[in-house]
Amino acid sequence: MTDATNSGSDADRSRGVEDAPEESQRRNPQLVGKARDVVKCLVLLVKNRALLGLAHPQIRLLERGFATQLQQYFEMVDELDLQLHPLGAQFGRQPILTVERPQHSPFFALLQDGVREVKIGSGVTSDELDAFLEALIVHEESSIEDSAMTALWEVDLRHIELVQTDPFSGDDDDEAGGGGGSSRRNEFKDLLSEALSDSLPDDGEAELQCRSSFALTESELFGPRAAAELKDLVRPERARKRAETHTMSDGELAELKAAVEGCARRGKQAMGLPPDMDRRFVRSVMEAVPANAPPRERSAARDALVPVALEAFSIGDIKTGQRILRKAAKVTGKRGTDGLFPAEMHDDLVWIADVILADETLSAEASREFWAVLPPQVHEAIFERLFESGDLKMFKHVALLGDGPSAKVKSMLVAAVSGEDTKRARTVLPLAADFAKEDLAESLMAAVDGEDQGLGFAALEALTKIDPAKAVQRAGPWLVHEDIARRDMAREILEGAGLHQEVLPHYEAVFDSSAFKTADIAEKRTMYVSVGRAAGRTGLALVREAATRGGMLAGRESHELRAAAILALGLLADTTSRGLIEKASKGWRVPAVVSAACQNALQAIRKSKGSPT
Amino acid sequence: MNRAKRSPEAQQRARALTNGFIILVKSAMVHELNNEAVARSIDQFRDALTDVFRGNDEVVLRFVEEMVYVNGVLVRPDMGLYEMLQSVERVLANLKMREVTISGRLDRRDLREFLKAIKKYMTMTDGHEGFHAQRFDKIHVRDIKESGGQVEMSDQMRALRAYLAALLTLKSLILRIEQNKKVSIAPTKRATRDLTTMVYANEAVMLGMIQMRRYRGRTFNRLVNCAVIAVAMCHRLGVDRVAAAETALGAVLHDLDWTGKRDRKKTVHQLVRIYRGERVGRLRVTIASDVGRVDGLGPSRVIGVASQYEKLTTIGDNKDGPILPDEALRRIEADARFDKIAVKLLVTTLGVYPVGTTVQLDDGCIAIVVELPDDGRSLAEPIVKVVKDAGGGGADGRLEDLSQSGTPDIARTLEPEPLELNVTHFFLA
Repeated sequence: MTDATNSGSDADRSRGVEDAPEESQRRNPQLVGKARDVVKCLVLLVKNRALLGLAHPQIRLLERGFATQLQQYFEMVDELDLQLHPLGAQFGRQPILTVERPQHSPFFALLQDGVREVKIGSGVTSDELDAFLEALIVHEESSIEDSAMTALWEVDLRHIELVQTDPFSGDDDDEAGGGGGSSRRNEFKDLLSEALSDSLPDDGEAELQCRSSFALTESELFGPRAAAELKDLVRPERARKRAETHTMSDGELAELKAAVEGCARRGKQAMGLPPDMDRRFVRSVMEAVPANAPPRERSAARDALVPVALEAFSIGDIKTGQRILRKAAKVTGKRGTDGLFPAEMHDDLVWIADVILADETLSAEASREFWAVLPPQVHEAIFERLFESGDLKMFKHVALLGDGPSAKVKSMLVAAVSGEDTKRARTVLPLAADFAKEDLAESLMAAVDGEDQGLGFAALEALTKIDPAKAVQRAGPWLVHEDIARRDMAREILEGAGLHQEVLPHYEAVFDSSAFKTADIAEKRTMYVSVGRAAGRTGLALVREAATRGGMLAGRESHELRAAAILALGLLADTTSRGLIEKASKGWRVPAVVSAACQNALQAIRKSKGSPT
Repeated sequence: MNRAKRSPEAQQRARALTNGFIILVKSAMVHELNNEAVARSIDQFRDALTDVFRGNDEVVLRFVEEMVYVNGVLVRPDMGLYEMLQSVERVLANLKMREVTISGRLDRRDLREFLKAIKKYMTMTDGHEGFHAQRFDKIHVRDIKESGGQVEMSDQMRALRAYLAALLTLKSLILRIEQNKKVSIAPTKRATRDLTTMVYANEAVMLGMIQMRRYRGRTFNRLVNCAVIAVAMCHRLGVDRVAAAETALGAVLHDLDWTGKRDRKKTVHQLVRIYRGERVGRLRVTIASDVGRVDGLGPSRVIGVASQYEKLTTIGDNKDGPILPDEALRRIEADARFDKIAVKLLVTTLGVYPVGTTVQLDDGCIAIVVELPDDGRSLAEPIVKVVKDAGGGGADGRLEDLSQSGTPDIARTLEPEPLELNVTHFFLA
């Protein structure tokens, strides 16, 4: 048997739906075909809506298609009446949808709620269809208290009628029945019969329990004595007066009404909740679950409290988050629970950490404080999980760990650097260089020689921090490499190494090389500057020596080389260099390019006030 | 109201006819039509029919859900009737025989033809089409749904079903909690939403439902009753339906201490166990925790007084047992622990003599308070249904609007049990 339930609207609204087409009409092949088309569109729409989300353009297209099919159907008859069963749907007893498993039916969410018939009337609005479709989507994270029918109850569906099986009179049994469907049905009928009966059932014990000590028997209620007693009892004025004291003012009404409506949860949102509700919640839980409660109770309390703390962290309320966690720790402190942050909570932790980091209104300190509340083993578990899943974005959080990563996390970082995934290696490399330098050198050397030039450069850069001598040794020969990018990289590495003596031979070799002599003026100048930066005073001396011994500034050299040397001396900006430049600028036969270089160099020295740039 | 229809005799005749019809169909399905048992059942049915025909031009039997109506008289069901109905339900359903109209005295041949057609078409797929096409002289069969009119249960029946469904759903929930089993709140939420729909549609009838005695005082029954009262208060307050339904859910979850000790901590613990980290659980826990607090959340203030009223009237607060409804209200009014506005709302909703209360009027009649319309009347002047006359005899069930001049006043409130009154019945009749 069925109970017509017009989900979310009063029963009489359902009467507004047009009459269903006659049985014979519903067997019209054209009509059946159209109904099938509608359902086909519906299947596609529900499936893709769940996968792609509402905003996807494909969904808009599918929605339009579904609406068109429905409209075409309504041009033939006024109502679409579908009978649902676990493995499909029928229209006028003709199967129009067959699925292998109930979960594959687009109506699965409704089937779970005992809906066995769907009627859509021709005046159906897009809002109604939208709510209906939304209810059909089975969300992965099923809510503890919501279902398709509870969601639709809130919606004013005037043109969609859902007919549910009555769990107390049909063959089906629902979850609440706990398997006792038949006995529940009998109990229901029994109760129904009892309610309708004009006499009381004979259940002596229950009656005794219910009976008040104030109970009067018939003999005390009727007869002359009772009538006389009644006269004394009646005090209508008093009752009326009492009634008057309960008149509610508009202000009182409005205040209570607002307080009740404010706590209503519409959809998934509860608006108007008091700001201290979470605090009250924490207090209630803490009062209800003492530290010596059984482990299951404490686990449940932990699961309830920690998300509140994490939410506080996510909005930057670090102090509240820490306070709640301290309280939660009191509950989980005893043995028997798996700590404050069990594995199933780690995804949430990652999410919160990302939220905090992405929030521009929060400082890095907030992130550090968040990570500080998580114990090292949780860090380890989180990073291990992320590493395994290939999601490396969270490694940026390693930098925010107060005491640095654990040995296990460090080994993961090192492994990532020498792994085959060069993209991953490049992402991890800076962190590894900061936090796992002691084990990293060999991996870096291998990466420098690898095929991925970007990774090689990053590895070389990291190597500078870990083992500068090795870095110089690797980079020096690149000063004359045929690839300009490698030459640039080499200069950068040698300049940053801070090993003046070790780098000098590499530059000396450069200046003597034919490659240098054929290089353009810009690179020559850069090389002169670089040697100063990389080898300090010794490097400067090398440049000066090259200039003073008449080599570079001598008239026999090309104008470009002389100009480059002069510009380099200008950038070095020391007193000796200045003297050399001034000297080179004098004379009758100074070429224009050299003269201009001298002016520029002297100007640069003046601007830098004598400090090498 | 047609009092003749409601008379015990009419009820008796209707029941005899229903029984006769069911036995007739059942015996025809079991035996050959020339069998003695069939012949007996035909005669029995004809006798019953003759009784019902007195004063009627035609006899209409309607089978709606588990209810049977004979010429509009609801045949009050009992377990025997249910079982019998169940035995012919397949025939009624397959042949879509939900309404049988008999338009004249039937002889044996008429009935044999009718039974022959039943037997024949029951063996066919889609037999109802042939069966409905068959013409009988004085018998006309219809499926009520196909006759154009939607068959709707009466509002009272819908209310009763919603109440009972909520009751059994909550019973199951509390049992699962007691057994420490996994719990889903969705069935409970669905049930409370249906309950809300019904209270908003017919507040007085739903307040009458809470007088049902079977499980009075049991935790799950108290929770459902508390929800009904809380929703009625919301209705009176003008709260929207969704907020009222949420309050109803808060009401059925506000005391999950299945031991009956109303230990708030146990409820919080159970809610925490059920909801774990779900955000909505915080709201449910806070509503339950705030019940009875003057500065509590809005729903908690409403639930607090509703719950206390329910408790006082069903189990009382000491060894004296349950307290009469008006006295319960007085005690709540005098209790400083409750929010004064919520208390006022409770009294405004239920009346000084709450709906469902058995009262004695100053003319000696016994009546049941069935409604307190929200029409600006005094809260002490509800509408009552008179159920016993001043001498203690059965009354006609007339309604008396005590706000009208010349009507009696309420003298005192009474316990219905010693008077053998099934209060719920009077809201459904």
